[in-house]
Amino acid sequence: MNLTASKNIWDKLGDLDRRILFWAVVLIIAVSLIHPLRLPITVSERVKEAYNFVEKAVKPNDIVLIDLGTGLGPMPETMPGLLAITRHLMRLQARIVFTTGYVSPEAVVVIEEVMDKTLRKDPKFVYGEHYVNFGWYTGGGTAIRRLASNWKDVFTRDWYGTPNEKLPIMKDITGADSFRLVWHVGPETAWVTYWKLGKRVPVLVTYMALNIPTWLPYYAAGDIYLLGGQRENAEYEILVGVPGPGVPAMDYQSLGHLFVLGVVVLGNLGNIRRKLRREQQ
Amino acid sequence: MRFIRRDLPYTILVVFGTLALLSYYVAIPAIEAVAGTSRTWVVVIGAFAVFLGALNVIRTHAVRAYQKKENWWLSVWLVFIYFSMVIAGLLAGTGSAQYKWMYAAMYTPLAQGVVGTLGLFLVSAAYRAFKIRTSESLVFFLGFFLIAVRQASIGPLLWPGFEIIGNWVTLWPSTGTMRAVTIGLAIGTVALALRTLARYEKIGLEEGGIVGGG
Amino acid sequence: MFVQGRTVEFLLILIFLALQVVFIQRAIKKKEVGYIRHIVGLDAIEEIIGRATEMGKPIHLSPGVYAGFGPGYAGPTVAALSIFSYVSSLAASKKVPILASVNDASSYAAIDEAVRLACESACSPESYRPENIQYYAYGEALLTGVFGTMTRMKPAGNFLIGPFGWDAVVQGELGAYANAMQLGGTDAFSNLSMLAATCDFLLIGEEIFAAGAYVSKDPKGAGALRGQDVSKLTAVVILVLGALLWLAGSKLVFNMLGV
Repeated sequence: MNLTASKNIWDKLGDLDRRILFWAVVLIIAVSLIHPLRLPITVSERVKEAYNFVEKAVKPNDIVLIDLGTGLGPMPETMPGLLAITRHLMRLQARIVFTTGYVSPEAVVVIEEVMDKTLRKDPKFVYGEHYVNFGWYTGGGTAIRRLASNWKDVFTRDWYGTPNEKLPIMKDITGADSFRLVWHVGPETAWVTYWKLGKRVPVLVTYMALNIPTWLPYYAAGDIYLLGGQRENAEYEILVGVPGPGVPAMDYQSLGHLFVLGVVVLGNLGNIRRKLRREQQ
Repeated sequence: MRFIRRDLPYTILVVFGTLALLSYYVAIPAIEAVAGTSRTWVVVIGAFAVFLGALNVIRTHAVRAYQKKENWWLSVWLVFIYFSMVIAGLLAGTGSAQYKWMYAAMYTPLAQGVVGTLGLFLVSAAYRAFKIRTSESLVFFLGFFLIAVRQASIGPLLWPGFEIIGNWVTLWPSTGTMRAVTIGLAIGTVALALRTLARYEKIGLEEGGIVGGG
Repeated sequence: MFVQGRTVEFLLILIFLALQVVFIQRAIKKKEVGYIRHIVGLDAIEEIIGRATEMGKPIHLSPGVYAGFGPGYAGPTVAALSIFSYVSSLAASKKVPILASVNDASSYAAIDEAVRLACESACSPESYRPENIQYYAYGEALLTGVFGTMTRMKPAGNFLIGPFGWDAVVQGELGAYANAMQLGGTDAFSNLSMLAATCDFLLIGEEIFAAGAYVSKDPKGAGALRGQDVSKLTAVVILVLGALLWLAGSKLVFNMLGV
């Protein structure tokens, strides 16, 4: 047997050109977008935990803070969760305050998109009275600490320049004690330090699956409720019961995962076979 | 010159760093007031630094365009877009429909497109990284396999055990390691900060070695 | 005088500082470095620079998309500055061109100055070229710029040290495409795994903070590392004590730390 002849399929599998991988991923996503497979989705315990907590804890007129600690990039993964959370809170008739403490103000675009798709479509929710966008703040953990003790230390007007005195919702906001809970989208653990541990305000977190390990110690300690990644955001969407972009994305998320796993396993099989052949030689 | 380049920056660093540290622990209004003001100055300095960065961009690309280096027309395009956004922001305001449209129509899809490549790079990184050669790489691969299947929404439907095992790996080994690393990092950060305040760490502010006082 | 619940914490900070000062002064007096465990990633810096010298190609520095001096990111950014300063002086001494891509304006100014001073200290001021230290406005622009740099310049060495986010895997893969030898290090644990998958050498967590002290190879650096390790040991002892007391039904340590 001529072992130095042209590569067979196993050799090729162990050494695939990355362009083949890229095109395969693009095709999988394109096919599942054009012909949705509607693969079944189960809801995990962690998501049920977060949903049930919000369902029980939030009463009509309670004020909830939604803070974005991330920019535009991770939005495809976290937007389904944001929309589902906002719709859930709207159904519970909560009042919603939006802020973003990301390193740049680009997340304000995301807040605008969320408001356009949810609150601004419902005439029952009036800006300034039922929801408000304070926009971008700087200072990270320091600002979050100051928000907890005195909201007006950080925000004296909303993102559009309206002074606090002209916003009816501000009559009920002084600091952390005014909020029923905080939904944080991002990696900022200062919310746990200053709001949960300092002021006993429950904190719920959703972020990219990539960064979930950052939050796991806090979840394991019972300090937060957690939605980790696109899958759990889509499961929250199912529980809220309003169709959004999360569930359809699960098709190509599942297929993409299976493809990566398959390619890695086949690549390893190719390598193992190549190694065995070399040893035989 | 030595005073301006080395001693003055270090003095500012030590004074304001110490005040910021003390303001967290000591309840003296004067210290909190000075520390609070310095935090505001940080924002102002950050804004000036953005200006400096913007000047760098303009200078680099203006020179490229002038010297007609490779793809110089892209540098012209960048400078054009840059000034368009600046002028739109100054004339119409950053809250105006025009500025928001430019941001949402041009920057947002491009930014998300770039981040979309993350998925492609993850695939090629996984393909390259999870090649089993040693026992450690086998453990690495098993961890990847279990978590990847657990994260896929179809995973638990293929076999419910994937959810159970995936959750266990996430909650126990991963969380435990994360806690240990977080504690180590926290102490490392504190140690670095204290060394910097005590002038045992030069942080690139002066010539010569990396560690050493005065 | 102290904020309620933070007195013990403040005393611990003072103890950590005292430990570092004591060990640094002891090391200076004894004039010895003593045993320091090898950190493979830091030892590899010379190898990477050597490779760049042989190939006649530049090296590339990047502190990550979250670089900056805001709370939470300042520590790893300062650690990155330390390492980049050392790398730059080594590279400049061997006349290796230095490229850098930064997306935070303050970090850009700091890295620019650090590289310039490092080149001057290596008696190679011509190695510093301001157009090679590139500022990009946002993270996505940074990645596009790094893509271009890797494709056009094909650096032989790539240093990814700092507060990385989701860009860790992108920058790591781009460096791999350019066949650059890569050293990665970040404090963000979840992104560390991405650097582990894409880089040839890795600095795990707090090794980036020890880098400045480690690479100096002098008694002060060794003393600083020892002080840091003893501080860590102190913290672990307090944790274990607190956990044991908690199990015995006492919240003494818990209350003392003001949690």
